[in-house]
Amino acid sequence: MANGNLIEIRAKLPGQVTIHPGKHPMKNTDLPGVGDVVEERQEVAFIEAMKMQNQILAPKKGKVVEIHATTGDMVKVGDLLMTLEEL
Amino acid sequence: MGLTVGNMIMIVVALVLLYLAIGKGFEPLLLVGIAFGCLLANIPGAGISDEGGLLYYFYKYGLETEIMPCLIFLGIGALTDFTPLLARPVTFLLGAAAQFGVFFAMFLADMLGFGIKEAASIGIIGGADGPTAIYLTVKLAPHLLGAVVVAAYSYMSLVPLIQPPVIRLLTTQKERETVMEYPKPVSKITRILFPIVTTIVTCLLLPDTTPLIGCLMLGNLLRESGVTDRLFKTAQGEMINIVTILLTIAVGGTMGAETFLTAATLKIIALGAVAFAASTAGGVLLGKLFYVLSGGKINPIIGAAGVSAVPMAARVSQVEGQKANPENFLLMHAMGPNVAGVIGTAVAAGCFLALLG
Repeated sequence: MANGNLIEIRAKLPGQVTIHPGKHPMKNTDLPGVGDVVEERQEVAFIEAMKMQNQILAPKKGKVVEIHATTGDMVKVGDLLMTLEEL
Repeated sequence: MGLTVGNMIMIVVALVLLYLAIGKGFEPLLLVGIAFGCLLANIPGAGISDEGGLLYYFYKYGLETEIMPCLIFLGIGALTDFTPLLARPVTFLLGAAAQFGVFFAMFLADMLGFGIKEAASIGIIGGADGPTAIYLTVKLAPHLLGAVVVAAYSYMSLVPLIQPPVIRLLTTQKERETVMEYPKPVSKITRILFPIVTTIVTCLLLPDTTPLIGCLMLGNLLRESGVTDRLFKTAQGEMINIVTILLTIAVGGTMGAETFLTAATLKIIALGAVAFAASTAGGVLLGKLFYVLSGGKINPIIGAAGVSAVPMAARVSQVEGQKANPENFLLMHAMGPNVAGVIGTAVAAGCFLALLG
């Protein structure tokens, strides 16, 4: 398998993160974990700020390589959340 | 004493408001109490809002004296984090520009035949700030209190419907895509000095705002001082909750059929929508100027958050920004104009009191 470009997904605002193995806060479905393929603009995580769940979307189609945060973590702007391998 | 047609209509109004609050989640913490007060006020023979009745005393001692709206402002000061405003002080002007609708709706109301004091109370709906609207209306046009407050709180829940079309009409896709950088953090000493300096400057310039701004800033100082945590927790928790219960049923108690079921109420509700839309436009237009002056670094959408309605209007900015560009997170940037709008509306009310009170 050819190694595609790695895409880093970082926190764009400060708040409390929800990420795999946490559940989608509204739909209660599974969020993508390592090995899953995500489509462009698919929700990969949420950051709660001002009582609002802000969706973090995949910028491109890719496979989840690593998850760097844990549900419940307070993240700052720029903190690494997830690495994707571009497909 | 029999049930009049007016009473029956008002009971239906109360039930509709209860449905909107409980079933649809429209500002339930406020509308449940208001609707229930309205229900009680329209039970014939109970006289609950007449001299000697329970809600009469809530009104007389809590509202006529302005004690309750000021205590709510103390709680709001404790709840409000002004750091996004302090981090980018220029956003204060967006909060001021978004008071445009207050003056625009006042002008329209005056043309529609309302007296100038009534017109000012109607205009303040555009500030999207409940306690300020109550404060001003009790002083200038108490007979309109029920209609003004119901319009203000209803439109606040409708902010996610009223604002997006105005934002999209006035901005381009490219402007809405603008991703903003995070400003430097704000020091503790700045956060402590802010409420003190704001109080001194604002209240000296405009003494009529002293009760509102004074309470707002004291609440904020309790939050930021770091040595009054117990008081801060009570102010933003139990105290504001207790006062909210008393205030909302007192406001609802003014919604008797004979004062509420008038053509004026319908006009107020229509003017309130105009006021909200015009305030949004005022904020967005100044936002566009900032976009140009900053060389495309400030997203004009955040101007819309200047209407206060904390934090709903900031959430609208977030949603609209992300629709234009999924990488765009405006929420915290929009909080600057959003909290500035609270101060802006209180200042607008102070101007009206100075000129008309």
